[in-house]
Amino acid sequence: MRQDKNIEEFSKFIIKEAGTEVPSNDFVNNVINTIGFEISKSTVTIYKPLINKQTWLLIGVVLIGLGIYVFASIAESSIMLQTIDVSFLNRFNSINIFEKMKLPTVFVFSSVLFSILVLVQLTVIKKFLNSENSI
Amino acid sequence: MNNKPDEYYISETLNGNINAYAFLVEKYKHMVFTLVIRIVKNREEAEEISQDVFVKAYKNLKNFKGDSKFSTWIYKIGYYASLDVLKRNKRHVNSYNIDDICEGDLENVQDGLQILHETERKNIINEALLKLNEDERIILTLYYFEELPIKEIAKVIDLSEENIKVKLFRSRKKLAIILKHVIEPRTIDLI
Repeated sequence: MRQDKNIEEFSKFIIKEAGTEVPSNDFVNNVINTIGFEISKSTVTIYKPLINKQTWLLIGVVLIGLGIYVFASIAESSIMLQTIDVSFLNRFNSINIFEKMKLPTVFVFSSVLFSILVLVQLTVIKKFLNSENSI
Repeated sequence: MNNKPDEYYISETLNGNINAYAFLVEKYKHMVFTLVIRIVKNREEAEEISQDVFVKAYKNLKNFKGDSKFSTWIYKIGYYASLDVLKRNKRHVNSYNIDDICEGDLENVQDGLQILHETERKNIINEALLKLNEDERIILTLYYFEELPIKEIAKVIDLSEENIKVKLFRSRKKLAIILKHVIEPRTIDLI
C-alpha cells in the first residue's frame, strides 16, 4: 500500500519534470491562416447560377404563353388561308439549288466525325467544370 | 478577456470572431502538441497533426455540445488523429516487460535523476515515456500533468473508468521500471 503511494508520488514527479513540448512560434498563425483559407475556399465555390429560378420561371411562362398564342392564331388563320391563293409557292419546289452541288464523301464523313467529337468534348468539359465546382 | 470560460470563446467563434478561436488555440496548443508528439514521436509530424486538430475542431465546433470540457474534446480529436497516423504508417506499438520494483529502487531512481542536469533529466524522462504504450503515455500525461479526473480521461481514450484505473496502475509501475533500467547503470558509472 505504501509502495503504491510512493509510485504515485514518483510518477507525479516524473511527469511534472517531463513538462510539455513547445510547438513552433508560428503555430497559432498557421492554424488561423489555414482556417481563413478554408473559409475563403468555401465561399468562392458557392455555385451561383447565371439565370436564377425566378427568371427561368418567367421565361417558361412567356414561352408557354407564346406557344398558346401561336397555336390559337394558327387555328384561327387556317380558316383565312383557304381564301388566299398560295399555289405560286409550288414553283419554288421545282428550283433545286443543291442539284448540281456534290459533296465529296471524305468531307461528309469528316464533318460527321467532327460533330461527334464536338459533342463528346462538350460532355467532357461539362463534367470537368462540374467536378471543379463541387470541391 | 483571459478570465472568461472556454464557452465564451466558443460562442464568439461561432459568431464569426476568429480571434476568439486564436485564444483557444493559444491556450491548448502546448497540451495538444505534447499529447500528439508522445504518440507519433516526430516533431514535424506532430506539428502538422496538431494544427490539423485545431482546424478540424474549428470546422466541427458547431457540433460541440458541451457535454464534456472543451479540453477533453480537443484532446480526444488529437488522440485519434495521432493514432490514425500511426495506423497509416503501420508503426509498431511499444511493449515492455514488467518485472518487480521495490521501494529502495524508487528512491535510487529519484536520487539518480536529481543529480543529473535539468536538460539531461528531461531527455531521460521523455525517452522513458516513449517506451510506454501510446495510451499509457497519454493517460499518465493527462492524469499527472493536466490533472484531468479519471472520468474525463475515460472520455478522451474511450475506455471505462475502471479500465483507465488499471492502465494507470500498470503504466506508472512500468515507467518506474524503465527509469530504473536507465538510471542504475549511470549511477554505477558515477560511483
